[in-house]
Amino acid sequence: MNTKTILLVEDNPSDVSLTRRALVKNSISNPLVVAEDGQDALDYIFCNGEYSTRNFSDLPVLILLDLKLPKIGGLEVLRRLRADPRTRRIPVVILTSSGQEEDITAGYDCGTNSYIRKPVNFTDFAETIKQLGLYWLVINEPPP
Amino acid sequence: MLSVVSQWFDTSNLMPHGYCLLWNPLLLWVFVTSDLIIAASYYSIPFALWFFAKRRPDIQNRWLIILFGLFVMACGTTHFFDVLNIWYPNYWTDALVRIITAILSLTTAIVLWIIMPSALKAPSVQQLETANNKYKGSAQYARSLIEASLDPLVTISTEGKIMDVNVATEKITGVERQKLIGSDFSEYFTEPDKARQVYEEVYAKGFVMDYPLAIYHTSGYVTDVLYNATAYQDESGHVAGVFAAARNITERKTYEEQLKIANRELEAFAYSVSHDLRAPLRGIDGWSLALLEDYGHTLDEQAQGYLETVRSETQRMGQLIDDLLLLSRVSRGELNNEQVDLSAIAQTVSERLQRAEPERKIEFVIQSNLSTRGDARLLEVVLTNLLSNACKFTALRSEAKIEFFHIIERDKKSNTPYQLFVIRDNGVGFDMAHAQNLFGAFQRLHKASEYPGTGIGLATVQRIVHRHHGRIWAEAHLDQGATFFFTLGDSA
Repeated sequence: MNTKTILLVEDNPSDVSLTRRALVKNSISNPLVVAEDGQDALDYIFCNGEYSTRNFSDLPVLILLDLKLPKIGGLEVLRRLRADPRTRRIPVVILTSSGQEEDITAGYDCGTNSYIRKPVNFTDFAETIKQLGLYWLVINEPPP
Repeated sequence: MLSVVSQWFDTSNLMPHGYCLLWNPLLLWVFVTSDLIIAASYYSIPFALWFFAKRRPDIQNRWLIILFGLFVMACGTTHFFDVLNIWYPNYWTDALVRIITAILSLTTAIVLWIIMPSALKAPSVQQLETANNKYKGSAQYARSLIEASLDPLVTISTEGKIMDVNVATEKITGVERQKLIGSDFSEYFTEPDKARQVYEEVYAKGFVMDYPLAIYHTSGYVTDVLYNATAYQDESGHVAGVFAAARNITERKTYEEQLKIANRELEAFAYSVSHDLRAPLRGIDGWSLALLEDYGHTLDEQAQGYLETVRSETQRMGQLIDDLLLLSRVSRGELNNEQVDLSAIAQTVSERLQRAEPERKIEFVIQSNLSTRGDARLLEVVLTNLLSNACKFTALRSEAKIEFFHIIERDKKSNTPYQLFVIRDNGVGFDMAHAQNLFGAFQRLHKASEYPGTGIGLATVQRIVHRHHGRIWAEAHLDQGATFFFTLGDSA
């Protein structure tokens, strides 16, 4: 069994459940940690606040990051991850509703590894999650 | 020598003039009285001249007045001697006086003729008055022109001092005319250095046009202006100063500001639509599918059909949002101006369309080397929309044919050539009676059940063509295909 954690940063509970459903459907069995806002995500990664007992070296294998988040936005989360030498190599995939050009360019400028626009059609969404899991968890060689 | 001088005053051998008059008392006194009056009058004239010259320091040729005064005085003296001679025969002295008078008279007479031409040229009082009135009239006219201007007008000397202003200048600065005149022009601007720079530019180039500056009012209020100025020359052709006008653009700035705010709001709206409106749709679609997958076996066929409808409607809504976002995106933002290979784009799009419907037989005839200047990404949207429409409306043709080519037309006015792009299909066409609705957002000419679509595609295409300063129109007949024509501004 794969024990490497996937961190999903997403504030919409319906989207969280649908993502979880899509992961299960595609037999992606990695543990899924959900952060509901940017602050929560940073706390988890940097072992602050309620995550202070977490082992820092146990970094998530993949971060699925929404852009429009309460408190701290997705781009700012990404910026802080990339600014820290300990977290700058974690694969981050922006998974968001927006296909706005300014979001896409800003995402890459901040150092995302991939930008995926969530389709409305769940069948397509599930397929996207499958491809994503296959690529980042199986094909891709993660940073050491 | 002494004898000559004494001879002048020697009267011993001479006879008083009274003998000539036979000492007739009446004749004698008429002579005496008249000569005395003449002499007195002549003597009074130099005093009158002296008085005049003193009161009129502007009078030129003052030596002429002195000459004339001496001449008149000499004349008076001769009459005085005429009276003396009646009793005392001082003829020698009289002769001396007459020589002097002769010299002065002759000189005056000659000088008068010498200055005659210039004296004749000197304008008469009436002429001066007429000229003066004329000048007053044109000055009045120029002044009322200057004052009629709503723009602040200023003339500035070569030293940068204000020479003249109109009421509008007083209003915009809050400073009185008397105080403005003579002051440094640049001190009324928010950026005096920049104003002086513009002033230098006027001297270098002869003019400046629509230079943005801002003028201070004494109350602290700032007016944004566009500064227009020209150097003007005196009679000899030297630059005598600068004539400047400032156009108040506060109102325009306000509108621009409002437009900017409206655009920002529109952008924020589009951003929110993009992020927030699609997420619930994904929920509706996802959970409908979850219901079908997890509880489908407990639902009858009709219930499952309902859920399928929920899903397809949700997806249509998603498509609508995407199309609206694209429509809004093509209206905003900067337009690139690059060389665009339209043939290559059409080729790529056609291959994509053919791949999407591999079972169909579609013949694409794309003219090669069609290119224009414009925004490549937006022009791809145009071709994608028009070509996919052509695909959609030829769906019932066993042999669909879609062409893309250009015709070189000439502008009716300027006769310059331009490209008219044509996309023609042999599909179902449409009734020209409804053609005016073709490019309106949400306008559809076909039933959604037959030909699905959001009705935003052609509105987007038209918006892009208009942003390229082009035109777009269509010609069609029911069941006889449709042809779309478009131009892209001044591309030839």
